[in-house]
This record gives sequence, C-alpha cells and structure tokens, in this order.
Amino acid sequence: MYIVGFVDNSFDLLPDYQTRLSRHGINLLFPDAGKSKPEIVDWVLQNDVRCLMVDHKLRPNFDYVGTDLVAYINSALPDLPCMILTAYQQESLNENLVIKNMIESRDVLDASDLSDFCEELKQAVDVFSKRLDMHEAEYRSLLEAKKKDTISAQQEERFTYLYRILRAYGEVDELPVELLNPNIEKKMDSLIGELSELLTALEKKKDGE
Amino acid sequence: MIPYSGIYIIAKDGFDRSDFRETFGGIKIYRDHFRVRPYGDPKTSNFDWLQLSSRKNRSPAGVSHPQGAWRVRGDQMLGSVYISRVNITLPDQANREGIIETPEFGMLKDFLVGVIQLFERDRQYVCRKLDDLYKRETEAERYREEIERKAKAEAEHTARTDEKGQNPVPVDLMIEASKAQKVIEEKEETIRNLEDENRLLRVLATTGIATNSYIHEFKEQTHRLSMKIVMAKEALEYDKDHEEAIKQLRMADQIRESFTSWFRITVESVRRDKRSLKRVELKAFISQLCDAWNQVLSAKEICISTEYPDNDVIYRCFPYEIEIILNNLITNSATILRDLNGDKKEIRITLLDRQNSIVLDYSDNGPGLASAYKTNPDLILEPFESDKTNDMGEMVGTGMGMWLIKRTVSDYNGIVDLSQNKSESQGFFCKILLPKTV
Repeated sequence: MYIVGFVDNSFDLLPDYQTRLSRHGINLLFPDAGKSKPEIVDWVLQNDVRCLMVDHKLRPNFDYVGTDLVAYINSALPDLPCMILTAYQQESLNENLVIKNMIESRDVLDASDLSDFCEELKQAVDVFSKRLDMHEAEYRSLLEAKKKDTISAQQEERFTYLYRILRAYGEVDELPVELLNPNIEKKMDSLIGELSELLTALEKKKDGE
Repeated sequence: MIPYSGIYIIAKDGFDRSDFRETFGGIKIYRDHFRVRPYGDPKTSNFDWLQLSSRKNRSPAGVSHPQGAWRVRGDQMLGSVYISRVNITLPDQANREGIIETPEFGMLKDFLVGVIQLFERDRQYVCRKLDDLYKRETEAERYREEIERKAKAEAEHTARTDEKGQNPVPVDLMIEASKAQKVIEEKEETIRNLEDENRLLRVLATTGIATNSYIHEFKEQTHRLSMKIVMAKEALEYDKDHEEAIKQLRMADQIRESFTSWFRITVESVRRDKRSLKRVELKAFISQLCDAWNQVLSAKEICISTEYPDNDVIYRCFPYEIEIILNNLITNSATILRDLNGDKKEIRITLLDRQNSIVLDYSDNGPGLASAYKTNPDLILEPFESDKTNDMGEMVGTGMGMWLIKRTVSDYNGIVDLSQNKSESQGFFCKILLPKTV
C-alpha cells in the first residue's frame, strides 16, 4: 500500500477521499488539527508518509497556510514530494513558495476517474523510496568510514542527518549510542592542539630572530 | 421564380458615402454570377433602371413626414439580383446589352420595387418615432433655453433702473407657466429614471459583492456535491452497497439545498417583484432572509440570531433595499468570522418598532473594526474603504458594501450609527434608523 498524507483544514470529506484512494492502493492519512510545523514533520516520519498533499487554506485549525508548511517540510525533508491540493490555486501561486507544477486543484479528487492522479501519487512515492535507497547506500559508506574513524566533520553531520531520516522511515537499524556521538569535539581538540603548537613554534622563531 | 436578391439602403451618415456609392451603388443583375450590363452601372442612363428617382419625385415627402410616404432615391440604393439561365422568360438581348423587356421582366421590376417599398415603410416607421421623441425632448430643451435666455435678460434689466428707481420686468421677458411646467416634467422624468437605474445598480453591486466574497464557498460546495455523487456511484459500482449509496445521495441532497439558499441570497434579490415600492412585513421578510443565510453559514459554524417585537412591523419600502442593507452587513461579518477559531460565531439582528421609525440593531462577536477605523468608524461608510485582508495582509475587500448601505439608508432619510464601535473593543455594531414616513 502506498502511504500518502493530506493536511487539510476541514475533515468532513477526508473519509471519502480515503475510500476512493484506497480503491487504487493508496492509504491516505491525515494529521489532527492544531499541530505545529515541526509536529507535522514528526507525524510524517512516524507514519512513514512518502508523499504529502497540503491544502492552502489551513486556518483556523492550523496556524499557517499550506505553502508555508510545504516550504518548511522541504527544508526539513528535502526529498519528500509535497503537493498543494486546494481550491485556492491562485492564492497559492501568488505566495511564490511552491512551484506551479506542484499546485493542483482539489477538484481532481471528485473526478470520475482517479487513475491518472493516483498514478502520479504512486510515482511520487516510488521516487521518494528510490531516493531513500540512494541515501541508505551513502549512509552505509559513511558508517564504514565512521567505524574506521576516517570520517570528516562535514561527513559526520551528513551521517547524522541521514541516520535520522532513514531510522525514522525504518530503513536502518538503531545504532549504539557511542557510534552516534560525533567525534567532532575530539577532532576540534586535536586541530586546536596542532594550531597551538604551530603558533608556539612561530613565536619562538620570531623571538630567536 | 426569382432567386435571392440582397438590397441595401446606404446609411445617411456613412463614411466616404459618395465614393462608396460610385463604386458599389446601384442595383446590379447577375446571370449565373456574370454581370448583366448595363443595369446598375454608375454614370450610365441605366443606373436607375427601376426609376426610383422619378418615383421619389412623385412622392417627395421626407422620411419623418407624419402622413406622406417617403421614397428612396436611385443613388441611395445598392444591391444585387441573381438570376440564372433557367430564367428563360428573362432572355438577353441579341446585342448582349441587357434583358429583353418581356412581361416577366416587368414583373421582376415591380417585385423589386415592392420589396424596396417594404424597406421604405420600415425606415419611415422608425424615423417617425425618432422624430416624435426628438420633438418632445427638444421642445422641453427649447423651453429650457428660452427660460435661461430670459432669466439672463431679466438679470441685465434689473441692473438698470428707470428714473423712478423702479424696474418693472418687460412682458417679453415673462415665461409662460405651461412652458416652464413642460421643462420641469422633463427633468423630473430624467431624475426618476436615474434614481431607478441607481437602485438597480445598487442591488446588482450587492449581488456582485456577495458572489465575489463567496466564490470559494461556491466552489467548495460544488466539490462537495461532486464528491457525494461520485461516492454514491462507486458504492453501487464497486461495493454493490445500496445503503451507502443512499446515504451519500442524502448528503448530496443537503448540499443541493444549500445552493438553493445561495441563489435565494444572490440571484433572487434582483427579482422584479422586489423592485417595486410596497408595504413589507419586516418580521417575516427578515426572518426568511436570515433562514437562507443560516443554511449557507452553518457549514462555517456561524449563526444568525434574530429578535423581533411582538407586533407585525409594516414598512413601506423597496424589499430589495432591505436585502441590500442586511446582505452587505452579513457578508462582511461572515468573511471575518469564518477564519476565526472559537466556539460561538454569532451575528445578532434586532428589529425595533418605534413610534416614528424602524430600527435595525446589528452586531457580531468578531474582532471588530481595524484600529484605523476604531476612532472614526464613519470612515468605513466611504467608498473604497475596507479592512478586509488576506493571509498576506493585502487588502482584498471591495470597499463598497458599507457605502451601498449608506446610500440606501439615505434614500429613506435614515441614519447609520456606528458610534458604539468606538467604545467596544470586540465585535462590530451598527444601528440603522429608518423613519416611517418615506
């Protein structure tokens, strides 16, 4: 089953959307009202949502508009496909936070034939899953480097980020805490020590002159 | 049988009329799409082969002549007559310079003149009517000019004094009362027409404002209706579940009823019977209107509550003008309330029947006017003043709703009182006072 999320202001039609999409192999989930943007991200990760649809008009049940939420999620989860599904297409476009191709009219959900739209959603989920696979491959190589202590500070950050995403989606096993602790401090201490020695040597040389 | 012929009368004020006439003028004959000369050739003796000009000379009356029959001149016509080789009773002359003057050719000419006569009668009918109108209007216009001229002359005359210090107005500067009356009547009719037009434009503007404010609601309701119908269809098609289908159709029916309410508020407000001045029982009228609004606003959890006196409240008015007042107020309140969180979003309308006036006491429990209008709420009654904004803070209101209310109330010599908004921190308050004598 493909898991797709939908953040919407009104809840009365959501069961109908669920029923229709389930006939095409899509499991539609929706978060409760009142969640903040970080809570929405957590909800996405907890529920293994692989494609997200967002309505534009979310007030008063949420404190932001849909394009704001999509922009936030794009920065937190860059690969997650996000789409604005709304009756307020022009308002969404005017905000210039989501590209035009990712803004769709809500009327697509009441079409007689949902096949094309469902295929689009499934393809988006497949793309995201493929990217997760690529991230996993990158993660594994970084894990090896970490175990051999050959990982750089920048790679360490990337490793932590990939682990968080992949773990949330259940793609990787949990790591021991020791492996998660960054060696950045140790590396920084070592670098500062070397720099200090260099400065001392330079001063001595200057004094000697 | 004579095939189709097109005959045109050149417009009197046509552009480059003389050039056009010389090139295209005259009634030409074509046999199998070949010109049959010299009929209709400009500057030839056969140009006016139907002898329209001599016909005109026999009846020279002008086009607006009340009794005489107007005739068109030969040089005012252009047209084409199409015949064929199957018209064997219209044979060509041996020298190929025309058609033999057979009895049938004579009948053709009579027929064409008969057709032209019909056009002449049509044109004369219209021109006579226009002439009557012109005379009526310019008659009043002539009298008005005469009055102005004489008033000016009188003013000059009174500036000069005679040796006794008196200024009797000469008789020739007097105006006959009947002439003055005609001018006054003409002006009054113009004013009445403009007032009626203004009233209709106000109700159309209100309809436009309401439709514009709720365009997204219309789209949303349309989407809901479509969803219920497609769910019912799929319940039968895929699940063979009749009960589910019936349940969805019932919900669709409820949504359909909300459309009826929308039409009641928008389209039906311009119904003809509401545009005549009549005695209206305001309790029932306002109650029906609020019921329609409650149906459409219930989806947004907005409720309109009303309070009426015990007795019937009869008021002589144009019903659609009462709707203008209430529809604009409710549209404004609903737009603000629908985006609010909270348990109870309420609009209150109280009708009061005083000895000399009717009072509509209106309020809502929204955030109230923007701070720019708190100290001077009457500013919101001016055109293009609005505090309605979108999520990005951009002004999206038309600024016309309250102005329409003000114009409508002033027609009844009424008052719009917004003073309570100065002292209240929340909510919008509007008291409309309509004197009973209109």
